[in-house]
Amino acid sequence: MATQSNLTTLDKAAMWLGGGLIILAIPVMGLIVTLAGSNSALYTYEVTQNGETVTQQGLSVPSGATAVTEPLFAPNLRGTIVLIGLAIFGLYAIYKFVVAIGSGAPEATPTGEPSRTQ
Amino acid sequence: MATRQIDTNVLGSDVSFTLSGPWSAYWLFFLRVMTGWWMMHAGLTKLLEGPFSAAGYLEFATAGTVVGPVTTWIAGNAVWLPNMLIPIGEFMIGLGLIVGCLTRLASFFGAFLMVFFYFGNSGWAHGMVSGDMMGMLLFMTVGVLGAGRVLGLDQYIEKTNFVKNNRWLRYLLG
Repeated sequence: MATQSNLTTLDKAAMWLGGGLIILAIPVMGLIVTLAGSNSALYTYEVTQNGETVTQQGLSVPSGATAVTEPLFAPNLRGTIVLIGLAIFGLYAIYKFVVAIGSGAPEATPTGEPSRTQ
Repeated sequence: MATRQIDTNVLGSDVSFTLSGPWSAYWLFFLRVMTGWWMMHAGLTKLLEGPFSAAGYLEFATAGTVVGPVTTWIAGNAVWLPNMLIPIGEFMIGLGLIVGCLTRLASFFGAFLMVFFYFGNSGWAHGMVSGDMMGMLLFMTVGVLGAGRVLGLDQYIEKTNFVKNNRWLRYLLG
């Protein structure tokens, strides 16, 4: 059944960019990282503490530690992409709210409510 | 009607499916209350246990994360702000969700808070979908779907003349 959507270009941009970046960084890049041989999103390294070698994980490999596994994509690179996606969602929500105040009425219905044009 | 037909277009594709009205409403309510208590408990225990300090967490635990520059700056210049706002904010966000009042506003700030927890903890040893991310998604779901309209105060508040005359408030309620 052909349907209509009352979404604006900005709505669609928020959907594509916000969700797209988060899906890119988490499942897509996560699958690539896993297939490339790292089961963790973090760096795994060995460090000697009090004469004993322990294995730890972190966002980076500290100086003096020996990397055991390194993800194909740095965790903070993926994190930054997620953060940009979330920021797009957040700014979009604020924009919709500010526009609604400025116009005296929502220029579109809030999410989760039926469209007023249908 | 017990079943609702959804016909819409998302990301360029036509989508048609049916939803059980009672189960959809029930699950929105259940999700909202569970998420609300999770956050309200976190705030309430901080308030009951006495002075809360986020200084150590902000200065050391979040170092090297993508929010590290922001949290480190706050730790050095305005640590009083999270010390005050985190316990009260968590409590108010949780309370808002439980009673379904200003649900979208509470959900927005719940998700905003979870952004800092998600990146600040960076507990990604088992992948980047952590408990913090799931919490953030819960808040976003409650807010996007306006779960406060199901057995919540927002369903009554939205029927008042004040809200009808100020429709922008629907972006905070719902």
